[in-house]
Amino acid sequence: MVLDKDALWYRIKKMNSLSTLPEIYDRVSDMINDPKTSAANLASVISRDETLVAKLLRIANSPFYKATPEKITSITFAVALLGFNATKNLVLSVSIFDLFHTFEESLKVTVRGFWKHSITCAVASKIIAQNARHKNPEEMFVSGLLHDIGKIVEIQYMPEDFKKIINIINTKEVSMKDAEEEVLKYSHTDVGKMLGVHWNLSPRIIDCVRLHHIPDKAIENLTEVSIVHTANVLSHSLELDYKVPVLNQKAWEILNLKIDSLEPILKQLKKESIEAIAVLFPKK
Amino acid sequence: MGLIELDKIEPGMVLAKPVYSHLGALLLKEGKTLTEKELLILESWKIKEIDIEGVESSENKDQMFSGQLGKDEIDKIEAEIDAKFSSVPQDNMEHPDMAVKVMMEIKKIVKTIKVESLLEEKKHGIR
Repeated sequence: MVLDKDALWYRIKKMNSLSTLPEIYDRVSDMINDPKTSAANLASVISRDETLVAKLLRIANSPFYKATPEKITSITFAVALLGFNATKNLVLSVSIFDLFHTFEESLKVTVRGFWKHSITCAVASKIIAQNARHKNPEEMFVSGLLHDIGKIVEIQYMPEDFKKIINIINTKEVSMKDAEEEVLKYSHTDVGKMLGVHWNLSPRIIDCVRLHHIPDKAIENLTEVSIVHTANVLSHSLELDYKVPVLNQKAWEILNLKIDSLEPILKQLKKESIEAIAVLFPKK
Repeated sequence: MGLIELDKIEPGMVLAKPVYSHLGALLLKEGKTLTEKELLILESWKIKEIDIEGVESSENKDQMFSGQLGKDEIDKIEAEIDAKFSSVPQDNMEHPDMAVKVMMEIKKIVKTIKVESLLEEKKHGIR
């Protein structure tokens, strides 16, 4: 069954496990939007979930995420040091994996590959953001993590269509986007955008999801979209799983990176992405 | 002549090509015999490799790794990379388009990384 865009939007709203982000993320978002919330309030809400706290602290102190040289030993300290928004992004980065778990056996390998690529792209986005002196590397991390989120919706809710898409990519050597258009009439960037709107993510993150294949179409968030676009190219270059997408000239120019910085960036990416995958998506 | 990495440069070697900074300024002329002073200049400008008269290139990593990796293993890595980077030009020629230049550089670095990690795996007996 092929869903048109309206039907898909309806379906996204109806999806049980997708209709809301993990409850804790919703709570944190609501609290951050409330001017009366203090750092202590926020920390106490997060602290109720011990598993989450352990994961958050581990990631906040990991080289692949770390924004500060200080060792973060408590959630209260994390909130004070990172600020509200970075804390919210951190909660999202940790809890997103709990959203998608019921998959057909035949798609398990695809799903693992999907998350490995997403995490690699998250780390790449953070590294590029730091190199390009972007002010918010943590938000770039979560933007990279979510850039292909539409694909996981396709895998989970349209597994038969998704298998057709993969088949077309493998036999015709076309891009994912072209294969999706052929089967679904829309692509994972459209699905991801709908999900982002539904989840009330920041417009910057939504633009990264929507435009990471066509960064020169970005108007407001050109730098952020260019970071995720370039991160996606570097991630595929290291993974060599699919055809490596071509770098967009405008995206490269806007980042103002030196060609000499590519080698250290790629080497750091290789090292940190392995660590990040081991922490965020461990083999069960 | 051949491209030699800076840590393998010794005083007395002769430059086969001029050396420019990343901003395009001429640092050292072609034919210059290198002394400690020139090495210091290259180092402070963070020049990674230079063209030297009368030596074999070390840019082609095959030779460096020939003792440890078989030609078929290198060929396999190259074929895999070529297939996935099929839209990127093959040669090392100058290309006017900056984005293409960047892709060529990425391809080159990825090859080095893949060769290095294969060597690392062999050293630890993973394969």
